[in-house]
Amino acid sequence: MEYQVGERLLRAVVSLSFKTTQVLEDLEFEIYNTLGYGQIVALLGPSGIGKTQLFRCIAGLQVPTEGGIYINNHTEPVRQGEVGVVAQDYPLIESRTVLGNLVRAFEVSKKDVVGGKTGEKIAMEYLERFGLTRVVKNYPSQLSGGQRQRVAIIQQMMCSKHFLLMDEPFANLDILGKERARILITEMANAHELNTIIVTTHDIRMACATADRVILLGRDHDEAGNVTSGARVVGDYDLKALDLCWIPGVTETQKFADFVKAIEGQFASL
Amino acid sequence: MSEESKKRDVAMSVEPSLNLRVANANTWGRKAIAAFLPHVPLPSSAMRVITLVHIAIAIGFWMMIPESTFPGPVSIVDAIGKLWTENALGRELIVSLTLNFQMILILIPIGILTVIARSLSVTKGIVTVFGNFRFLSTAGITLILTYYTSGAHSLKLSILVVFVGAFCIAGWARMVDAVPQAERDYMRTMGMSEWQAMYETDLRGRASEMLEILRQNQAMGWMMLTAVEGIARSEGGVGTLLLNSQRTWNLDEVYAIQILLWIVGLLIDFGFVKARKIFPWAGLREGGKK
Repeated sequence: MEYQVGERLLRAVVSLSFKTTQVLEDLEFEIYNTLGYGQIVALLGPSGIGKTQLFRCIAGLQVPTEGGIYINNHTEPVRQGEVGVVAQDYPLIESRTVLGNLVRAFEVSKKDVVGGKTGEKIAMEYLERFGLTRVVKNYPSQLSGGQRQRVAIIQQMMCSKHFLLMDEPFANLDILGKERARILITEMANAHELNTIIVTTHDIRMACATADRVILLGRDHDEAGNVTSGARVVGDYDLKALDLCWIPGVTETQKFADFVKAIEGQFASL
Repeated sequence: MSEESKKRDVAMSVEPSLNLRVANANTWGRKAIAAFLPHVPLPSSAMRVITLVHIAIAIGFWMMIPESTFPGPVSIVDAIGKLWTENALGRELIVSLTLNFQMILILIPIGILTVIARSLSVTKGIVTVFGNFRFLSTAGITLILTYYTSGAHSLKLSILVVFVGAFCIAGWARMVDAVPQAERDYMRTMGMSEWQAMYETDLRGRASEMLEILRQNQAMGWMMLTAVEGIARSEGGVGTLLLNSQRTWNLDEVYAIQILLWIVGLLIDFGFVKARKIFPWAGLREGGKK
């Protein structure tokens, strides 16, 4: 992930519909690399709102009906392979070892090699940093859940040319698993000051506890409560400016609890 | 150590053995009930007992059946010895095994081609058509293949490849169709080209499954072997030997050859199971144990 502080990382202007269903409608946001430290952005919305479709659009797997997703200042929409993507179940190539997974990802990404490093050398550096050297020769099915998460994220970091996109990283996890995933995402974001991780989730508390910016997605409803539009951005919260992140123990404060409660209050009408 | 803790330690050292004895006394009764409950696993010791009981019942039946309908073990061993010395059973077995292995060797590249063809829109339908050849009759196809082949060996080989191949192709096509879209998307998100993604998901990623489909269907080829060798007898083979014994109503030899075919078939199947170790990731379970 190589870019400069202050550079625009992503511009999303998308509408997406399937036959008569409008999934995303004039959904628009931008992400800048302005913080100077690992940035985590949460795209938050209730289940079924179209987060996965937005995720697919950002990953280049789904072409929007209108508009597009643009990386940096590119005029061409994003293509698959440009953005590192970590799906819900932390997929890996089951027929390759941990090292094989990482090296293969690096090879296919055709990323520029810095300082003449080989894919294997870069992979070993990452594995050492995240305490995974013991499982270098293991196959994915031999990894624990936590190890699998780490390897899947490292793999995407090795092949991504821009930022990392994670789909529902807290789904299907118990409270300890969620906390482990939160710590891992923070660690990964902090691995380099220019790392940015975008997380799509419906978990309000985890989104607020993990991210330093929360983009809230919602839809319009008629008086009877029926949905009348596709999803769009209905709230954009800079948690750093609100003093709700990067402060030890902030998630235990009343201010944080009130913020989570306020978002929860909005959720029913999204 | 206090008196209290000593008493507790003694109690703990005695209690497990007492419990164990009670458990063991009850276990066999429980095991007997569990053996008749669906999907209730039993310990290996109980499974060994069940296997021994099965073998004893099978041998018992064999002893009870009149010699005229099912020859006894001694007659069968004698028949194998006679076939080996007088009818060159070893040579015939090599002929049959060669035919079977040639069929397998031809089906491996066909498998790779099938997987590639199934992934391309332009050839996807052709794979379906070839897979549907499994509904054809052997009689008609044999006649057609006689026109296009020269010699007994190539005729037998082509019959086996066409029929076993049709079942394999149908299986391989289903295998490709069952690959989840998310798995392909995952490969694409790493920047893989469509060909690279296909290689990782369908070929390398499913190599073990491909072999398993070949294993299942080659067993059918082995079963068909005797019938196919009967169509073109000039080259010989175990099938020819079996048909000759059948024609002369030599029941000892018929059973001897059937048992031999069964054992060799099982050994080939065992070979396939071992061959899956070429793909070390296949069969790995959670926790890293095989």
